[in-house]
This record gives sequence, C-alpha cells and structure tokens, in this order.
Amino acid sequence: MKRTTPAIETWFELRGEHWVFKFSKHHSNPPRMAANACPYFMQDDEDEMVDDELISCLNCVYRRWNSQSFECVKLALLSHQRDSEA
Amino acid sequence: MNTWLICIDDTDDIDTKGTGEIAQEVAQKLVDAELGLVSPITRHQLYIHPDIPYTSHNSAMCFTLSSGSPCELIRSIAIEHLVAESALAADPGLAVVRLVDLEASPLAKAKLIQFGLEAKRQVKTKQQAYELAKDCHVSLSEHGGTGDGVIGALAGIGLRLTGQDGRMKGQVTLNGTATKNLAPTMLTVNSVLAASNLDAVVDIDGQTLPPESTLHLSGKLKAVFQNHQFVLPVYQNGQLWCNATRSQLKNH
Repeated sequence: MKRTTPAIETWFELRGEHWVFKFSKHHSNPPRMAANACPYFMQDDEDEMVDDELISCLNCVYRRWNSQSFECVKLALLSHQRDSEA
Repeated sequence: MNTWLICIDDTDDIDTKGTGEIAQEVAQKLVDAELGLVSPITRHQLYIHPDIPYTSHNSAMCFTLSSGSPCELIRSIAIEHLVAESALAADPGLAVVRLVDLEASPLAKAKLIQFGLEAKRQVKTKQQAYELAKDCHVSLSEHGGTGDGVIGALAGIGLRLTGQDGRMKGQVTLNGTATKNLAPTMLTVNSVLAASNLDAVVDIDGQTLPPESTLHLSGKLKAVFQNHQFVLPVYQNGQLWCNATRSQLKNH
C-alpha cells in the first residue's frame, strides 16, 4: 500500500497535549490503515508488537497504551516542535 | 548453589534500548562473570493508568540466576549495567531475591504474588513496594530518575512467582537458531522439545499436546510462561496445529 502523509484527524484527536487514537485497540483494521498512511511508523521492539500485520500503529514504537486505546507520542512531539517554532 | 530471581523495570524511553534488551545484557554480564546460569527472560505487563507514568511500555523483565555468589556481587554487576545503559528519562528499578528465602516463608511469597497481581490492575506506590520488599527478603533499589521502576521490578518478581504470567522475551530457538523467519516446517512436539529450551507445547486453552502431535510451524515462534514452564502455544487451523500469532499472545 502506498504510504502518504496522514490526515491525522482521521485517526487521532488532540486531547490536551495528547494525540489519542479514536478507535479501539481491540480492532486491528483502523491501526493498520493509520500506520499505512503514516510517514513516521517505526516498528517497536519485537517483544512489544501485538498485531499480526507489521505495519500497524499497534506495532509502532511511538504508540503508548492507554486504558481504551493508545496515543501517538510522535504526533505530540511534532506538535510541540511546531508550537516552539511559532 | 542458589536460585535468584532478578527483575528490572523502567529503564527505557522512546528510541532507546528496551528494558528487555537491557535485561538480556544484565543476564549475559552475570554469565560472563561466571556467576552461574540464567533462564530465559519473562516480560510482565503492568497496569496502564493515567496516574502511572511510564516511559515506553510499562512492562517488567524477570529472569533467574543459578549461582553460588552472594547477593551483593550479583546486584553490583546488575546495577553497574543498569546505570550505564538506562535512558536518561528513565526511572530504573532492580529487585533481587533468593528463592530459598521465599520457600522458607510462604507468607512472604504469597504477599509478593499478591502485589504482582494487584500491580496489573491497581496503582501502587514506591512506599508500598519498599515496605513489602523489606518484609519479604527482597533487595530492592532504584537507580535514577524518580526511581518508580522499583514498583514494577517488585511486581515482576511477584508475577514470575505465579508461574502463570508473561511472554518469553525473544524467539524460541530450534537447534540453537532463533526462529525469526522460519520457513513453513512440519515437526512433532517431541522433536520441537528436543531442539529447543521449551518445556511443553500447549493449545490456546493451555492443554498440553501429546508428544506425537504434528505441528506446522512458521515465522517467529513465541513462548509464554505457564505452570512455571516455558511453553509454545499453538492453535488449530483446520487439521493443522500452527504456532500462535502475535495477536493471540497479546494478553500474555
């Protein structure tokens, strides 16, 4: 699948300083689609990966679990950098 | 000769060496120093909650060392490596306990198990961890940052003691080779056990497969800790027993 710049808001919503995934961590399709559209995907340590498809936010080094789903710390870092430069 | 349980937590950050890798290195340092033999490492998932700051995954890594060496020597080697290799933003903790002390004190063992199980669903504090460690013969120490990793390190000890928690770090090795990308292979349970450090092959419900069962293995073989054994979970796909997928193992 061609990887393009993501429409971040399709998958994540900004809550405070956290970019939180909009969908459940128990459904594999949304995280796979999000990761396929993301230029920042980087696979996590093999022992921390939980999706059978490699390219998935569930397998990304930048996802941080929360009780419902996960957040993306890479997007938070990029937002912080943009704010600092503005 | 004693068996020691050694557990570390909260050593990593984004883009740094993971806690599992550091645990593996600590284990290798102990072997290199000729202190004894180490077991595979188990990864224990802890509670994910907004009140629990964690750097990467909030999982603890635990292994055993069979050694005649004193606790202080074991700890000093582990600490030296933890301090050198932990991420700057990390809050590393180390827990070390001698199993014979827990066998002599079933109440202490039960308390540690309870702490570990609770740490999977409750917020625990450093004070609770230190008080319990003092009561239960555990050497517990922090090595940077807030030191909150002592909570996970102690919880990891308790979870390993349950014998029912965690995945084995890394892949199963067959005849000394890690199964990173195993081509589809048919093997019996017996031959897998003979070629690996596994204790059993089990189905997804935890039932042991007979030795003559044929397995269809491919990709990465991942083991879990069950009944104090390292076991290979498999699932039935038609007539074939296949090694479990990542998603099937995510709750371990």
